[in-house]
Amino acid sequence: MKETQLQEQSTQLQAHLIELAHDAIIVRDQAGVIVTWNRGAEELYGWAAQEAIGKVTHELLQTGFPESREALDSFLATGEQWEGELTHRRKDGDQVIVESRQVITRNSPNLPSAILEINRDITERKRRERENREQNRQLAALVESSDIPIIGKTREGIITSWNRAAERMYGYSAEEAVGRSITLIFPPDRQDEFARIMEQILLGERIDLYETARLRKDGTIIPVSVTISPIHDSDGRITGASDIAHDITERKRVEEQEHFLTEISKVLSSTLDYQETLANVARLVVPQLADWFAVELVDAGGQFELIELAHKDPEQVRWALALREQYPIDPDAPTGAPRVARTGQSELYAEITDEMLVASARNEEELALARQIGYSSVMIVPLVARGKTVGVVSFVATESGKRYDERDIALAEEVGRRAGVALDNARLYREAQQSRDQLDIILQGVADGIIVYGSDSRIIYANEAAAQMTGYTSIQDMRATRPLGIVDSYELIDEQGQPFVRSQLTHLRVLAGEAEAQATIGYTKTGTGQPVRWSLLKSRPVVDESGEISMVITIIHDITERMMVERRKDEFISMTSHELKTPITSLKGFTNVLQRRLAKQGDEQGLHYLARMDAQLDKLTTLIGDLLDISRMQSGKLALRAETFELDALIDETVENVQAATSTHQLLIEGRTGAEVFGDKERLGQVYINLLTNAIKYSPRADKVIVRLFRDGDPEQAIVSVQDFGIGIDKTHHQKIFERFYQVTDPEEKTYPGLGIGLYISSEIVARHRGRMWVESSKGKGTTFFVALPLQRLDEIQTVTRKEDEGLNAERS
Amino acid sequence: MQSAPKRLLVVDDEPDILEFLQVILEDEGYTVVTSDKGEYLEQLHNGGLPHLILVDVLLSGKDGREIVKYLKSQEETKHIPVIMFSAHPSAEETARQAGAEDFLAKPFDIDVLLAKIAQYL
Repeated sequence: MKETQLQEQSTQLQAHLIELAHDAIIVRDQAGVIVTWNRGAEELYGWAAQEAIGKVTHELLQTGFPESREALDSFLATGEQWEGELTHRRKDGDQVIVESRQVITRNSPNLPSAILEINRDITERKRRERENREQNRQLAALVESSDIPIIGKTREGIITSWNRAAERMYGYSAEEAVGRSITLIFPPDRQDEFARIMEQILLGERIDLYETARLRKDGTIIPVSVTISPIHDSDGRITGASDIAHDITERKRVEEQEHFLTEISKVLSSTLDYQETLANVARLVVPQLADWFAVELVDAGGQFELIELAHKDPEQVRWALALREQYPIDPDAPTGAPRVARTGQSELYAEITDEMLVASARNEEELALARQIGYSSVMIVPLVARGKTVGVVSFVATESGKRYDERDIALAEEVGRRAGVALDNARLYREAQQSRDQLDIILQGVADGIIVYGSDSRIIYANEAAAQMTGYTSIQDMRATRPLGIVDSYELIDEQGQPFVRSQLTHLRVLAGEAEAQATIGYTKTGTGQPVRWSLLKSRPVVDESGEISMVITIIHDITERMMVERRKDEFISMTSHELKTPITSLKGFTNVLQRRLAKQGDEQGLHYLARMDAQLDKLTTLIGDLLDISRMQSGKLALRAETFELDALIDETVENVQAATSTHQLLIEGRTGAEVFGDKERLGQVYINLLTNAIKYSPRADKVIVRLFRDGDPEQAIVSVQDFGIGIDKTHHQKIFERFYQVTDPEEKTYPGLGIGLYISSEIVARHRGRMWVESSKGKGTTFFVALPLQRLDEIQTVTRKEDEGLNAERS
Repeated sequence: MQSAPKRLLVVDDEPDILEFLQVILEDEGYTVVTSDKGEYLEQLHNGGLPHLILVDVLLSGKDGREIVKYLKSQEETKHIPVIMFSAHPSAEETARQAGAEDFLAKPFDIDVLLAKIAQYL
């Protein structure tokens, strides 16, 4: 009983366990009919126990067997436990994969046995596994097909994977590489890099775009940029590292070329000296780009002129230059530099073979030399300036064993272009320098001083004469001292002997807007007041395209001699006029004495003669006065004594005086100006007297002269006109009659005597009053002279003391 | 002129000028004392101080303006009117600065001279 109880208890316990299990637990009999179907089976397959029990398992679940059902059955028949994967169909039709364990149970040999199976759903796991496999496969394919060399390696650096790109890049096949140390592809001088990198990798760091170099199987070195990342296992432990490398040969090359061209440009623009430029270029090219570098100019006749030859060994250069002397370039050679010069097309001899040397050598000796030089590769490119081939540039590789390719040619051509431009600039500069030097030689040879001022009035250029004339010892001295360019040790005076105002210097006036300025300057040693030198300054602007004054050119003409002569002439005329006036004074005096005698005697005829004599003496006096005036005007010394006076009153007085001396003409005054004029009353009176006497003189058959007074013009002017009714003046003379010593001569008409200076003096006097004088006349119609004076106060009129007599004290003894 | 004749002193270095001026001025009723340059001081009191003095600006050896300055600085002579003349019309300014009451440019009109003399006497 007790045993039965125990058994009972055990059976109940088993039933609970079966129900509690998550896995599907199914018991089937020998015929495969389901006898037990637990909750786990219900959940897994969807059938309830009552639906499943009594059904044949394999039919219900449509069991898929890995091998065959027979194989499973026979295995079970051995009484062993079977384990394996099966596929089942769920009630909803979905297939599930299960991990199945089955065992056959036999309670007693006679009892029919049952088969117990426990199935665990592994569908999800299997799916993930499949996906992982697929992913891995894809990844492997990706890595394998990548153009980027990807290498896997262990912590110790043993290569574990090696893709095809790695094969291509490093030259080792995967079979050759896998299992060997990564240092296989490290250049000898970079063997220790691995340890350093690994140290970082083991810290979990990734090394990004690290630029280094790698060694190929063929021994060549390739510049690379590598990214090295740690490889973790599923537990996160670092088991190795990936090594992804990019070949940066091309990039390095482009960078180097760019750097090279930058350096070349720097060198080319650093100097305008021909030789220096080329030498600098050569220093860059040799030995970086070539072992030999040569620049040759080709003239119009195709003749070569070697202007630069460089090699790192100067001894070799001397040797090559000597060779070149001995074996000059044949301009008609079919290949090489002559062809480049002819065609302007670059030539590349990537590899110079001995056959080529044999073919190009003109004789045995040349061939031997060519072999001695040991050509490896040659590039010849045109030297281009302003679109024309002006020479050739040769890059020759010898001992370096370099092999030039198309990319090198592109760089070489760029060097040829840039060097051509630089040489052209150097040539232009040299020419400009030469022409400037020539111009300077010319300007230095000019007797006149020449100063060029900038728009800031600083001296840009000056010749020696300019420096000397302005009292400097040298141009440098002049340029260094002050912008005005006139020395302090002199006091400047104008023609009137007055202090010269610096702001009136001609270049400053031009900078202030005058189109042309002129000034006479006397240089007096400070304190003495006596001019030691005179110069005439003329300035003109140089205007740029925008119309701004860019420079002012001042010409300094030495007029010391002229001024001294003029001064002596002035003194002479002044003295002469004095000497002439003294006897005239006596003549007039004795004429008067005689007049008194004859008057007492009642000798009318004698008195008449004496009156004529006296009138002629007056005329003589006037002429002497005119001569003196002319002399003063020429030297700018005609002084005015300005005062404010009524113009109309002056005219009245003048007309009255002239009328008193003439009986042939009637002088009529019409109109009034009502104007006050600021000027030299005596001098202006002289002008009107001159006009009135001319009017009478040149209208011998007329009987009147009309003087008109009026105002006109803008700004308003006081105008006096004197009209005669005489022979008139032809238009061709209208301007010239105001010139000095000009006389109207007419073959048909009577020529009127005189010095031809009256109108000149008058117009000068009027001009000094800022007035204007002109004539309206036509032949036979009479003449009208006009004198227009400004109404405003003429402060500009100089009221300089007449000082010419002072100098005479010394003259006369 | 009914009263005692006025005395005039004429200073010029030109004998001809002194001569015709003497003739004309005496003809006009003046008492005339002439002097060429330096000895004018001896002539100053010749017959008493002159009523008017005529002086040329430029005298050989002596500046007429210096004479005028001296006369104008002396108590007994400074009131005597002075007329200067010169062949340099521009000398008028300096002549007046020296103290001359009037100025005449050479060659002068005798009538103008006589008018000026009369004006000061």
